[in-house]
Amino acid sequence: MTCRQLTPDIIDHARGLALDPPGQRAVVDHLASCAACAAMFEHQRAMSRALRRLAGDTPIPAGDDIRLQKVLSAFDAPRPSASRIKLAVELSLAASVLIVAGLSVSWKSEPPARAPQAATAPAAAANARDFIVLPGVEALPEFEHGQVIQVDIPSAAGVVRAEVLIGQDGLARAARLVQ
Amino acid sequence: MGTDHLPDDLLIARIAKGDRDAFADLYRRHHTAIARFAAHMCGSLPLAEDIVHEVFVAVIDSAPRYRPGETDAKLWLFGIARNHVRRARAKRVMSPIDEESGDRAFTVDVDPVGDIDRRRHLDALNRAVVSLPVRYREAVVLCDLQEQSYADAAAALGCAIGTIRSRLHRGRALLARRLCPERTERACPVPVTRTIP
Repeated sequence: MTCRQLTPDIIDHARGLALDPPGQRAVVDHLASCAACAAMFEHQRAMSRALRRLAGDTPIPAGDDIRLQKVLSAFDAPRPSASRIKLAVELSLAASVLIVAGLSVSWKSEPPARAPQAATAPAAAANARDFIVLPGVEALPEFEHGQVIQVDIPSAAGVVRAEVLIGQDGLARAARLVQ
Repeated sequence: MGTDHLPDDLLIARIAKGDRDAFADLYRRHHTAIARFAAHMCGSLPLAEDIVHEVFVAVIDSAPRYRPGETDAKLWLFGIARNHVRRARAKRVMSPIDEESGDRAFTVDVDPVGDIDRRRHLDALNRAVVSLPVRYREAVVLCDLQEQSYADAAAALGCAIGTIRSRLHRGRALLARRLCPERTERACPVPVTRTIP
């Protein structure tokens, strides 16, 4: 195996992880014969020691009773009831459906006589598959989990299926047309 | 009867029903891990404190959506903390250091890895960690500083194990390059990472 192929295992070995026996043997044999990788291994091992020391050395926010009471006051604070949250979600969904329906109608009602528009229709359709951020809300960050729900919207051209992206806060964030 | 003997899943289920004691127990149980994660990710104690507070406030509302068995409670908390760290970063209240500044940052005059006993070397290492691009920083903080396994870090960050492993290795390579670029170049000419599908 080459240095490049073995590098991840060498780093894991330097971090103190247990490799499988063949991998361990390959790393040990390679380190015995490759000065550059042996130096890199020592460097990575020293890095692990330094990081461990850093982990124990970094001051962290205290978790004393004062801070706990501060969080508990948030726990005690009145929050929107489940029915109000449900209403907010339903209103958001309704707004999403209206927006998607509007987009759908305007898309369907493009005049067919306009040759350039007709020529670009597939591209437009492809773009329409992307989620469109709903007005007045923030786009769902890429790292945040969301839930996608499908809705069928009746329109003059038939039923249009759309997907609405719901954030972790229960609010509709974006929508897209499926068909 | 107290709730401190209950497993995390049950604590969170009780929190969802408004159990204040369960919430306090969850806080006491996991505060240190979340605080350490936030501190390492932010490099700022006051900001880390704010994030810890926000994480546990978020738990109040998120508890009903927690699904036991899908993920470990601590990893779930790490995931929430990660989101709050990223939001703080988006507001530009975190490290003023340009994340992509790459090679030019944090070169120190001596080798901090070879002589880690001195406080300033740990400071340099801390600054180098905080300056890592966030995807690499998350991997270094979770795997190296929090000593989570690849599998747990992957669960917390919602990505594949191979992704975490390659991000960690890339992050360590960036740290080495930032701390002592000459030595790194000389020591190992091969790339320090490979792409794992």
